[in-house]
Amino acid sequence: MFGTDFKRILETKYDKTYSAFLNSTKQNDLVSEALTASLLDGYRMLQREEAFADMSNIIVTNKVFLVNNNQIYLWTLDITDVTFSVLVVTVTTRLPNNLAIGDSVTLQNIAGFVAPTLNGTAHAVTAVTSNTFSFNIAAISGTYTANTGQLVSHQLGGIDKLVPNFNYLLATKQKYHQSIGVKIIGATNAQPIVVTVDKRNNLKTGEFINQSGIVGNTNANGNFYIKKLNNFKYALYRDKDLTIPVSGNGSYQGIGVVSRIVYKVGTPVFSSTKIDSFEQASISNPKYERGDGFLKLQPSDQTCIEVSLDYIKVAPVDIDVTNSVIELEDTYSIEFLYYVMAKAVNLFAQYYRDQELYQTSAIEIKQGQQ
Amino acid sequence: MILLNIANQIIKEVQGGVHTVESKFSVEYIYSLIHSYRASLIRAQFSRSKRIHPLWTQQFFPEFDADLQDDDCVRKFQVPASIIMNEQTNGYLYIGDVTGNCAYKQLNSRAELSTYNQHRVSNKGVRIIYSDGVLEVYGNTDISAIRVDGVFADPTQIPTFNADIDNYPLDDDTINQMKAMIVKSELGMEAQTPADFKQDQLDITAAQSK
Repeated sequence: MFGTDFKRILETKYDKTYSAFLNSTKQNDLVSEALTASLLDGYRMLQREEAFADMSNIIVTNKVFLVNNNQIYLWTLDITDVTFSVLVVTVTTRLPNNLAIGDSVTLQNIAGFVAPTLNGTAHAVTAVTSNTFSFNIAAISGTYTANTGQLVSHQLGGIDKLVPNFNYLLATKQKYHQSIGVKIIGATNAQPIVVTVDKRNNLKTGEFINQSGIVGNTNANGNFYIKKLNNFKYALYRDKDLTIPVSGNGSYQGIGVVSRIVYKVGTPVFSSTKIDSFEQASISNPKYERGDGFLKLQPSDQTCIEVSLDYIKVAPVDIDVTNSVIELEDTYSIEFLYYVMAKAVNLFAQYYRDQELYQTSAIEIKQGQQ
Repeated sequence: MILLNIANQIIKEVQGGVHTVESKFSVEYIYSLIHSYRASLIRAQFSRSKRIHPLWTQQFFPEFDADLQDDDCVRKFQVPASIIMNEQTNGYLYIGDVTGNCAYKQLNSRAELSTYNQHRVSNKGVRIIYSDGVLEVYGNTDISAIRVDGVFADPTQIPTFNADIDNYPLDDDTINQMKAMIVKSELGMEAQTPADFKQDQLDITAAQSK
């Protein structure tokens, strides 16, 4: 279905001949509002497989993001000022930028600069304050137009640290390194590496751990699955089935630490429930809250390594009733498009106080929800 | 069965088989109910059978903490509380050396301890008393490692217990009884009452929540 097809069916539904006239611009406004409302309805109805299927192209699942300061932006950041001085561009953002030195940022819609425009290219951040960040550039010409541009991408090593196309959150999974309070006192130069720790602990066979700080036998640093041998010893493997042992590469010379890698689904915490002692976040019971434009990950006193999000994107393709090129079904299911249509007719009837049409379109919406 | 699965079964039972991230029941809250109902059921079963099921017990190896030592005559170790079975029996089945072969004499009161300490024969052996979360060991101040086997009030406090992997220390029959009791006694009314997330000093009614 193209936009023009959508228009034809929409006009039939709201009976153009007898109803108030809508030109294409007004129809696009109406459809845009209906699309936003339909996404919200879809989000609220996401309990059955059928509902997920209708919105499958705009649902993102298990998308991994890295995290700075236990928080992540869910939309693009507005830029208010850009200055250039001695090979350094300094950008001021309207809200705190949540960047770290070494992060890669991409800007868009900056007006005024001619060469380079700064738009669409990734830049490595070299300095950061709360609302400013800098990156290096050889030269720049033109004058920045105030309050133009957005920071649209924020990454490290190709992994996003900002969710630019976010609409509704469905689920989070948060990763932490949980200290288990033991020190490594030995790691054999053998295959597999057998690690000795100084205390009894609750590590179990099959667990995924992180080891760091080991000098000498450096192959024992990193993330591994373990096979517990006794209360003080375990062997290191690369895979969960414990079939690929890790080989040592030297004699153990330095004290390392071991932590458990915990990756658990988070639950929302609301301001009104913070009084509840059972609502306190921990690594084994992570929480998230929304505020200041961020998705804030808790427990806040532990460093969240990464977060995996399930969410609904903003409508990736606008429905333009004059467009006969873009195939809408590449993005939206046909059921969803008919739902948007019913929603648009319902809005139309609401605006023009057409009681009968309002009631029939409401029935159609209800049928779409069932 | 692991603790999380027991909690999820309880939540699913009262919520019609669905447990989502926005459930009104916090898993931590259900955990606290599970621990307290476990204690009650273990006490009740012990009073009937005078027997402690091996699946209820855990081993605990207290760490020696030099900062805790404030008296030259006694060694102190922090030990989690056990379930008190009745007036005569606490939940510590074995307190002794780490091999599990040499139990120390458990005393129940300071008066008893005083008698033992002053008696020319009984003051030779190692004797212990548990008080205010601390296990005091008398008779050998060189001891730096001990082992405690017991039925602990909160099994998750034992450092060697891994709640994500280890089975919850309770037998299956008692787990089933516990789930039924929690659902019936604690959560029946709560499940029917909608959660009120608004801080408006008003209790939301079932009719309003629809």
